[in-house]
Amino acid sequence: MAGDDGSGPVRRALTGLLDAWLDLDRSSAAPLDQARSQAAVVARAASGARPEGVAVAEQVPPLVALGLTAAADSLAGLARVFADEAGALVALLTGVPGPVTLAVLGSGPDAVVASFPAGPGRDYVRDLVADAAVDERQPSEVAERVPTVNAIPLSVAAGLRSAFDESVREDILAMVCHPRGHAVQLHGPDVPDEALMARVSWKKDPMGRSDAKNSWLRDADGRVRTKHGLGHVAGKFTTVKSLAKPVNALLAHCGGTLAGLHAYLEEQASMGRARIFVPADVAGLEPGDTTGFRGAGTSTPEMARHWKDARKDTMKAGGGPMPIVRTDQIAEGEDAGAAMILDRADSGAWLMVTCYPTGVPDEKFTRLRSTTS
Amino acid sequence: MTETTRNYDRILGNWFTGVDSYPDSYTEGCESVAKWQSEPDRSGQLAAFKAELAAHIRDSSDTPMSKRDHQWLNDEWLRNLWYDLFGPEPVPDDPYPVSAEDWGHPRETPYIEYAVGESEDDATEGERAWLAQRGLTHAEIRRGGFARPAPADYRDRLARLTAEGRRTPYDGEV
Repeated sequence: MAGDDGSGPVRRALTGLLDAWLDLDRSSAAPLDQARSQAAVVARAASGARPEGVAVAEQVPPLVALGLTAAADSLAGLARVFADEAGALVALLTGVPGPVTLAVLGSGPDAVVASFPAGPGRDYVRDLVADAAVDERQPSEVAERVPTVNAIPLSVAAGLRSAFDESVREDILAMVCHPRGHAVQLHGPDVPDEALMARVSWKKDPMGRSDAKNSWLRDADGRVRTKHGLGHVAGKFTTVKSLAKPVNALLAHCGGTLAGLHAYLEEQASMGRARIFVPADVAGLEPGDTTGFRGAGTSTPEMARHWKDARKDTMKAGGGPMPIVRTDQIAEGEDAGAAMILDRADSGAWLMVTCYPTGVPDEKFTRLRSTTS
Repeated sequence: MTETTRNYDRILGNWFTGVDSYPDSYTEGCESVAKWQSEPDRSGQLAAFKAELAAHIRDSSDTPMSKRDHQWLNDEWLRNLWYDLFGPEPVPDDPYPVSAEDWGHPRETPYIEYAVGESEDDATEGERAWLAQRGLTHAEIRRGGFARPAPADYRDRLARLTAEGRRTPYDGEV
């Protein structure tokens, strides 16, 4: 469903159905086994209690067996309903219809995936099921309680100070910590996990800004309203050192001087803005240098769009959280690095609007080349 | 036209791509058009960008750099960018023009997705001006998809444009 109406509610419904189906698949066998063994215990107990107990004990096993068969049938019927409905929703999202062939309940998540027709439908479900095993969910009432922090922590500022060469230290600090920028507040090491989760799940600004573009409001009925801009990933640098890496790589590329940096940015910019992508190897960024959360089941641009539509739908409806998965973009991205956005201030100096880890370089950002290759 | 120019790539790259990671740049750019057009050193760059954007929409010749999307979706994304920047005037020589009434009902461009809220009450100044220039209101907007399905003759058209040397093909473009 490349942009047709309704992918949000459809994806939300599919998420809920798969949850229920996987849960049924996982949990239905155990209670049946338990009922069977309890019946045996009851029969043994009854046979010893009074003389008539022997007759009762003889009646129990066949009765229980009958009941268990009926229960198993009705659970299988429930799974059939889940499967048919999930199949219809997947067909809507992928545009490719096909029959869902149900395996015996209790066969595990791989069997649930395999019950979808090979091709786009099965690929779509495979991604959802794989992430369902590791996803996290943050309800909006929890997101509402997550504290916001607008200031740059002193420890981070001090750490940054020591990360830059003395010859440019004050100027680079002023650039990175400029009042119009938010690299540290949104992507710095002190941003807590819960704030990143609230950001990606409910678009809550970790800085708690109250302007019309960032204010965040949860109504009494759970509906969430905000225009805070975010796609399906929220990430940060885990240490001051890792945050400083792409900045230092950019500086090194420009000869290590402020004049060199400004000349480079003037050369790359249009309309007073330059966006630079520093590949992980050029920045020296390594796994563990970044962390964050992404929407679950977002391995293709289209799936990511569906996830965002579903988030929008649940925000509007006051519904439950869309699932998210922890990610280290440097470790997992196919072409990872840091993206930075710099603006020319009225004074002529440059300020860093933001700097964030990314797993896939944003198209047509200026790609910083290694100075040694 | 086959190649993108540096001016085109830089304006797209510095402002309008990467919407998923940082939507504010895209929406700020959309709200800056009138200002840029009034600045002597920028109006020329923007006019050249506008003409080139139209040519790439006409020829399906701006291929998505990551190649993760089909050419059609990229074309449709560019049509949305055109509307978000320049408003309802049709793209010159667009082979698949979007009908004027589709915008905002239900076609949802990135600007509408990220900058237009649910109601007039909490609208920003830039948002109000953007809507007014396009004759849209919060009350009338219906949010749907951002793209249409590819037309039946699209594959043939791409092949023809490729054969004519007006675009460069890539694997998985349709």
